[in-house]
Amino acid sequence: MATTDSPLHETPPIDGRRAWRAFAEGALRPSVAASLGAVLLAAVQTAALCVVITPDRVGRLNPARLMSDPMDFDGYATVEALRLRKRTDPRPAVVYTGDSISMESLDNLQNFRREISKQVGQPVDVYFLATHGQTLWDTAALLDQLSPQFRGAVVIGVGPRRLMQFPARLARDVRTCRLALYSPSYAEECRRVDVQPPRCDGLYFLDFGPFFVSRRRLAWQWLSEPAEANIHQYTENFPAWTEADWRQQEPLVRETLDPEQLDPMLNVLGRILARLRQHGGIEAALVETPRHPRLVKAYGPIEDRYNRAIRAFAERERAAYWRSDDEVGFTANDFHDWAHVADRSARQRFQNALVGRLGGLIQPMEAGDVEP
Amino acid sequence: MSNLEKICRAAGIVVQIIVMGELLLLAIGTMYAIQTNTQVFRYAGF
Repeated sequence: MATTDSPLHETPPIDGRRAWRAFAEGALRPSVAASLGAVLLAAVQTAALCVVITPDRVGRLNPARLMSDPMDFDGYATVEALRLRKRTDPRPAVVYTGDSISMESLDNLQNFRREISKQVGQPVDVYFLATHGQTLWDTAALLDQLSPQFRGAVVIGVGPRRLMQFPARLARDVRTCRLALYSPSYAEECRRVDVQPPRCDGLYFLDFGPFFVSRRRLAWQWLSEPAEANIHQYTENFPAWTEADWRQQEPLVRETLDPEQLDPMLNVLGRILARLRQHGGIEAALVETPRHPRLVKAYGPIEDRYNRAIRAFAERERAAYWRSDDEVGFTANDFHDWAHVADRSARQRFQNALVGRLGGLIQPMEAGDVEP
Repeated sequence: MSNLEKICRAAGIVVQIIVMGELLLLAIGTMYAIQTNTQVFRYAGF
């Protein structure tokens, strides 16, 4: 046994318990140093988020990485639109915008890309920018992201629901920050209806704080697999309408339409088309979204007024306008509810017809058209 | 207090700073979300 007077034991022996006690005291006992350190750490992390999260970096992500759940296409479209800002490829591409009705009408995104490429005779990128409940104001913000080099076709899904939208909806969307996109057109549309435009101070993370804060759970899921984007998530997860739903829900759907907004919303659409014309090299296609025959009948005068107005608008604007109902021939059995198509064969017919139409609009790039 | 105890205490304070800093950031984020009533858009059919 060692003795205390041995030169080897001039320093006291290491006492593990005392060391642990000191550690626990440091970790658990409140102190000014720890409090200041915590505030400093939070401030440094916030500053780091402002520096790291930029439109360019977000645009390089896998779009599914910004989806808080498989139905969060606002996150998906934000990444796709930011990717579009940086497009330099001179080959024609397709941008697909619209609401959930446009989204559910397609059969399969991969097949859509493949079929369009086959139709045009060269690879065609498809930027899928449809989101659930997308308004025309959102569409304006998304299409503001087209790079100057972009060439190709832009599909804009139209229907009574998108063209009879209450401006109150815009105010709510600005507040909750559905898309994290800088858009002069969106700001202009806000000012036209006396809605405060989104912040634009130049710090992306802070300007679109609500967008990122509402997706804060994603920070913990960064190492796991991202959610899988599924364009049929709504029809696959929500029950199909029964007769009781029709009686209960159909009047509610009608309540969300304001026929008095038709002219102002057509003006919004007109400004979108004017900007696309100004950009050059873009063919815009207005694609009428499908509607359940029962709803068309129930809408009656609203439907007639809408049809007259949109046809006159398309003629005036010389825009390609396509009524999918006429060509695809949807029946009541094809629908999940008032407007979302759930039948696979009906979706395929819609998609094939759309590919045929787009094929006629897109001019393939000839060798020597544009320097690579 | 020995050097080891000082190091252990400092390590404890660092752990406290990290935990408190993260909790503070989470609390600020949650308060911001509640105050601005921000949430990911949930589509329910129309």
